[in-house]
Amino acid sequence: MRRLAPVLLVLLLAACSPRPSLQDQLTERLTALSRTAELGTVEYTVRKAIRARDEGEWFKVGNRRILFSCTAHIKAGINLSRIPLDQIVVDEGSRSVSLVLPHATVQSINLPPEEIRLEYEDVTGFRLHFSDQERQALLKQGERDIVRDIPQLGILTEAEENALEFFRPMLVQMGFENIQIRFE
Amino acid sequence: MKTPLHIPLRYLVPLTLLLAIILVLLLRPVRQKKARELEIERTAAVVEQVRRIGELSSAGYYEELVLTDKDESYLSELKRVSGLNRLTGNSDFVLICKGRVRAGFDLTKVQGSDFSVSGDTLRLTLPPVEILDVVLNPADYELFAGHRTHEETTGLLLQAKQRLRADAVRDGILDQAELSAEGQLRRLFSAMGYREVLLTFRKEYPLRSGAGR
Repeated sequence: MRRLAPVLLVLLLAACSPRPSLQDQLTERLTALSRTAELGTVEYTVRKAIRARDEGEWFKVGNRRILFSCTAHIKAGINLSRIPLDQIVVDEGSRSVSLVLPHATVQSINLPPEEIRLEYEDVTGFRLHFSDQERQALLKQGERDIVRDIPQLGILTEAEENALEFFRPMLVQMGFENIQIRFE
Repeated sequence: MKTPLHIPLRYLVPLTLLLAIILVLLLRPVRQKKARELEIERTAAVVEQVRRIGELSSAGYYEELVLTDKDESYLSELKRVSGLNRLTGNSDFVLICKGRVRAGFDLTKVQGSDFSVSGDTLRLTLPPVEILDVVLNPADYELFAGHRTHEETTGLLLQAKQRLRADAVRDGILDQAELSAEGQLRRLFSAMGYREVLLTFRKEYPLRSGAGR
């Protein structure tokens, strides 16, 4: 019994010690802090309607229709960490600089939940309302459509033009007179 | 020697009909599943605004979190106490969210006096670091259990965004953003020939109220 007492005491202490909740354990595992170096130069605000209809089958009496409107904020720019530093050529004598910038990329697509509005929902006959899963599937589809349409918006061209507008005055202020910037 | 199976003509018609019915019943679930899919109409995205920005995003934060909205209605309590929820299931709402936070600097706030060059020394004062975006898009969350209206779900998602922002700040995203920006800009300016790069940060540390939609 004397030998058993310390073991029991340890077990009791272990049982009483506060354990992190499942949420805390999950959060600890699933968080990540990272370094980035992105220069965002343009933001497009895009509005989109997401519409769907469900006519049902012949034995289902009634139809269902739904309409959402949403706003997406798309930011694009250049990744500063991808600037090839070995290709920066400075000539102090002629006060010239040559710089190569990476092509612009989309940096973030943000569809704020508060800017996704359910504008209209119509359910007739014996049909059920749209379920949570169906609504979310529609919104996901809307998001995918926005992402698919990005190349047609011209945002990347504009981002590169703005990057030039950003770097040029800075280099002038640094004293350079001949500035050459190109994208690769 | 076996004689070939001979079906009398009077049984052939009902047998064929029976086979046809069985075939239709077997194929029905497949047809129903296809028909049940929603018809999503193609609509064009309309560009509402184009804004020139100058955001240096130097730190990112990713978090997966579980958000639970307990149903505390009288009926739900009754179901819980009586054990009825074992049969009907409880009506708590559970969302699994995967959000991202970006932090950095709004370089449009850099004024002329914040940037100076003398010889091979460059001085730059950056505006206070801030949260640039908290992103929680429809593809970033998953409904695990329960159901709520669209407005109720939106309310929960806004709570999730607030938590993401708070967790990111608590885990040091703002310090990380300063460190990362310092390293990156120092590297860039050094490559342009500046031996001394003096970077300072304006310290305000407020969480911009309108930021991080």
